[in-house]
Amino acid sequence: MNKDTTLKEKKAGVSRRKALKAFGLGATVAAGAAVASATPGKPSKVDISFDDQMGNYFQDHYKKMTKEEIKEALARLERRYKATYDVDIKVDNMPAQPGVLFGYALNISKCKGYRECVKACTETNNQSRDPEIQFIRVLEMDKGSMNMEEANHYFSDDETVPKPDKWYLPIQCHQCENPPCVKACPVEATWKEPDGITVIDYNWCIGCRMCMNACPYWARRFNWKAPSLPKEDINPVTHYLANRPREKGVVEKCFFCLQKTRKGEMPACQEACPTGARVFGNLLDPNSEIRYVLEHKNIFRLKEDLQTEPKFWYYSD
Amino acid sequence: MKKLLKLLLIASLIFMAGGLAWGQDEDEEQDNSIRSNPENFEPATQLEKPSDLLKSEHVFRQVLRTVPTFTVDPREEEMDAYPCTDCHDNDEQMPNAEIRNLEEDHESIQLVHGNGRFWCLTCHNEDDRDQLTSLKNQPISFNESYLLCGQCHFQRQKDFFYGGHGKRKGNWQGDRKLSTCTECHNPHVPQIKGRNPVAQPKIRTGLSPTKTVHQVKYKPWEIKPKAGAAH
Amino acid sequence: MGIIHFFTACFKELLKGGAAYWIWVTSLMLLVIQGVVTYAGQLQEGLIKTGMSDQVSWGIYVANFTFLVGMAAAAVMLVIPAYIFHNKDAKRVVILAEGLAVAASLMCMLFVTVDMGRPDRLWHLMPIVGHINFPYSLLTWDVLVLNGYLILNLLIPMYLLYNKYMGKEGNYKLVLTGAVLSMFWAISIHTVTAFLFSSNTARPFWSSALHAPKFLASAFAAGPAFIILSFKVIDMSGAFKIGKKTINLLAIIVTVALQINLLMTGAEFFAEFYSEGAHSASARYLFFGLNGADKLVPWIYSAIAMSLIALVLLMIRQTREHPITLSIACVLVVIGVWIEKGMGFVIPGFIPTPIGEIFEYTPNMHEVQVSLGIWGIGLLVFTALVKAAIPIQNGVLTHSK
Repeated sequence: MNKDTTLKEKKAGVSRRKALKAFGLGATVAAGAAVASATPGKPSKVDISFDDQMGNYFQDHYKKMTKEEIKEALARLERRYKATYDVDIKVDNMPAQPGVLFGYALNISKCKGYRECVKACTETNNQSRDPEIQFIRVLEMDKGSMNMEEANHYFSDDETVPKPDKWYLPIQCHQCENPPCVKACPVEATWKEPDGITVIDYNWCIGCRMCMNACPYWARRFNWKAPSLPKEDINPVTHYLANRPREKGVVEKCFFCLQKTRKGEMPACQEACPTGARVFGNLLDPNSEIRYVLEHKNIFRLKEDLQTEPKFWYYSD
Repeated sequence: MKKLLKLLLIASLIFMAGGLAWGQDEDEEQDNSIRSNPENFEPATQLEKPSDLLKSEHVFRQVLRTVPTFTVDPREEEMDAYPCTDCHDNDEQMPNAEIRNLEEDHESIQLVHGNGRFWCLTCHNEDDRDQLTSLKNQPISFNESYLLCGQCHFQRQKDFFYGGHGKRKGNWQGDRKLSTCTECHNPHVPQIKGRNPVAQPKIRTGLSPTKTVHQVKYKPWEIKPKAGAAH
Repeated sequence: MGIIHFFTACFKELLKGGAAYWIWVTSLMLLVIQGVVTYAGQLQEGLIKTGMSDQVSWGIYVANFTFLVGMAAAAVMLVIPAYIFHNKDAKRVVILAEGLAVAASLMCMLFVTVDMGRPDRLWHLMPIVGHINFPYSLLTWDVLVLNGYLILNLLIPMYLLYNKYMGKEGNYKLVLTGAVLSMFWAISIHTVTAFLFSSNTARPFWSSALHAPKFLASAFAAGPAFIILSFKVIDMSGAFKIGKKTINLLAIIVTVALQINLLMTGAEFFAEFYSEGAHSASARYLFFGLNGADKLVPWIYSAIAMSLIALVLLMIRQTREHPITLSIACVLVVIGVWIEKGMGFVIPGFIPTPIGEIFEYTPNMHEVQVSLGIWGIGLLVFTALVKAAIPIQNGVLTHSK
């Protein structure tokens, strides 16, 4: 019964989209303007077929697409990236592993403010280099205080860290179990996956930035212009919901390196941390490192009072 | 009927009060001391091999018996002058247990670790120079330095075994490979050096950063700054 | 057939007018054209053209939107006396207020559209073809109520005017139902807009129950003040005589609403600063500056000063009834509330960021130009609606003639 209705809905969706497509072809002026703003990079130089442009424009919500439609969408993206960046980028759509809920713990007594996590994150996740988009902010605060308004977000690379009278607090997306950003999105372009990671369909986001207002951790970034991503900096191993190159006017955020972690690998920030301050793993596995930390260390979470249930903990020894 | 109910009520009240009193008695008998007396007395023993720590069956180490299996990258291949017996072959270069300033060989080694409490042979095995040594003079392989360090840093060692200290390499799922102690810490100077961080975030063109004044907040142990400086 | 006649007659009416009318329309057109050209640049390159940042991710566009939702809602202040209390003065001019509601709602939608990163994906917000997150996202509520309000305020006056044009007696019950509906709808649009902000627990400055009533109070001050000003212009043009009584009624509404708004500002000030905590950081930034950053401080005090001066002028009977001092008071109220909702509410909510960064925002020329363009469109629409409605309302323009 349930299956039938969803199938019917899907079929109805397809025919609706076809009707829309026809309508769009008719309204050439509107569609033309739309396509001009829908293509990333420099639209005038990039050669993308008209079919692909239309397919991109009328692409449905990720969760509403059929398997075939997703396959088409991935192929379309790969063609587009090839045309834009001249790199063969593989766009994957591996689903969440069953029985996995990701969690992160960060040892604040070990973090020394080297910002290696920030660098590795950008190198792995194809963020725009100019304007620069970073998912992790490292705060430098006076010892004995946790007043974030007094924190230095821009401590210089000319000075050695850790400074004797400072401590360091890296902040990224906390992957809330009860994410306020998901609630705020008017078009459900962002949602929580079964493995606990809040993702964004960059092809569905309308760029209203409601989610940026809702996030208590300032984890979300906006593509104020088409991202500039030099060819040699591209990581060609990507996931649709994660690190595939983004486009102008959409929001993005940390996704715990979904493209890596769903394959059992560690996220880039954990790999890059030179002090071993970062512990990542499956919260549902009682023998995991993360569970050991949560059960044996003194932990805290930022802004727990907001009851968003972040899956990002801080601990110290 | 009503009478019966009343009776039942009174009976249950009495029963509950008795239960409470009984419970209190038991509380009073509880030992509230916080000294760490082992619950089962066992005569003093020693591990046969230091690595038995992780397999050991004895009662005091129950916690460690659940350590998930792990491997570390072998260390011996990474070392510049290994095997040590290339020089310390017990013929020409007899081990010299005398505590002295190392001026001829190994003069580049700075031994900060332990602030002068240690000498080379605290950790390096006198009899088998290709091995390290435990406090009980049992050999420990260079590949298993965590067994050596954990003799003093036992809390860190426990965290290392379970994932609260050190770092798991490459994956969170599948075979567990850990960074061994000496991959991050120089055993002779274990404190990790400070250095310059990666560049700070850039502000996009067209915008300028806001200049703010770092307000030193009043710390009770410091002289209160002049009124107006703090908010 | 009648409806086509009606629209062509209305359109023809737009083409008649003196020199002042054409100067006004032409200058608005120029304003719109420069706005469209500027916006084309933004469409091409993205919102990077604006002064917004990841830190302050909403700016003057949303500030204008917030203000204009209030202007739209304020029409209800004439709808209630006209349709519910059958106040004759109000009934004569209510159509003009509804015209303002239409223009303001339209401007709201335009301001939201220009603030969007992907206006080409507006269809994602449409029911059925798109995928809307209703009822969870407050923005979907806002889209629904604004569209509904726009339609209501187009249909009711159009029905009334059409009947008057055709010389027919309209269905009174139908109009009354529509009026009652639009009354509640007006309250709802501004409440929903306030909830858009106060739903964010991440931003303690916004996350207060006071904002919905305060939004309404400031809207019922600024809206009628704007209506008074436009009535003065219409009155001066001689096209339509607006009674002193109507103006006085509106002036009293402005006075009371302004008093309530200032009371709430005071209450907010007390709650923020009597026991100042981390949650007061944005308020401190706004009123006193935070860690040396204080760009908004002059704005908020000028807004409060404007409101206070206007209140004094409005509370003294002689100045309230004198056309010049009343006009000055109304101008001060409109500007004061505009600052209060933009520079005094939307922007400081972002400073400092939820993780403490103090990063200031100033609207740049691009944003000002696009905003002026949208105001141009709004004023053009308002002018057109009023221009067509007045002769029908006066009984000059009818089907028979």
